[in-house]
Amino acid sequence: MLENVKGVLGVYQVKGKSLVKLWGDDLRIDKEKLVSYLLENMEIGYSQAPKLKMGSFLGYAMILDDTGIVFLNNYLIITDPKKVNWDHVIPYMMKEVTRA
Amino acid sequence: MKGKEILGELNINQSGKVIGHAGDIENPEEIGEIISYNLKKGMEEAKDLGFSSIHGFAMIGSERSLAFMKGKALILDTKQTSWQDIFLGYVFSKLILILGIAVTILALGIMATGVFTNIFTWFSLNSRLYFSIAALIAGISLLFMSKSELSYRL
Repeated sequence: MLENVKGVLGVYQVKGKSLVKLWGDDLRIDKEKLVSYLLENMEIGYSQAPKLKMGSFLGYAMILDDTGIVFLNNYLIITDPKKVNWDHVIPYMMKEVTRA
Repeated sequence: MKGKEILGELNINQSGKVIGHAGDIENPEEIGEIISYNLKKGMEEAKDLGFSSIHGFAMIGSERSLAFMKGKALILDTKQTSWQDIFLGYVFSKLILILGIAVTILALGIMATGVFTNIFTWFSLNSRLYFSIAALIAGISLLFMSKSELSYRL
């Protein structure tokens, strides 16, 4: 999934409470904390979505320092935010969401 | 920023208060609260994970999405959004832009005076032409260079 796409550094999947690497660099951050935050943010998003009239909440993206993060349908995509084509990555992952 | 995918816009000050909104937004205060809560939470999470700050975020919904960047929030039509434009933007380097304009004007001036008047006749016509063309190329290159710095809009 998204292999060899410019600016995409790695793809990971959250299974239960652990993070499984599909391909890419090993993450140098506390994975347990990361997973609990990712899932907690999804819960927050679900609860906020009706007020925003979003339809169903699919996930989120953010830029932390120089790291781009996309979290959609339990997949975590780590990117170089200036090199990646966001118009490719986000719609691609949304299609994965509707297919799954 | 304008575009058909942007359904509404919200301006928020540093303490999280909504200071203006436009477009299709019925409940600006509620959206403002959501944004400042998420931003605070995101900042805490970022610090806890070893990052120094969160630039911004986007919440993606099947119909509408919300993006927040530097004091501004956008309500977006998910299917029509250009995420690239929302997340990144080019920053003009003002100094290079001004320098480029100055060099271009100077080059055109030298070209005009050198070719059509007798002021610089102690140089040969060729050297006057070559110099002004070189200066013109330098000026135009500077103009293009001024738009080269990519930065986060989010």
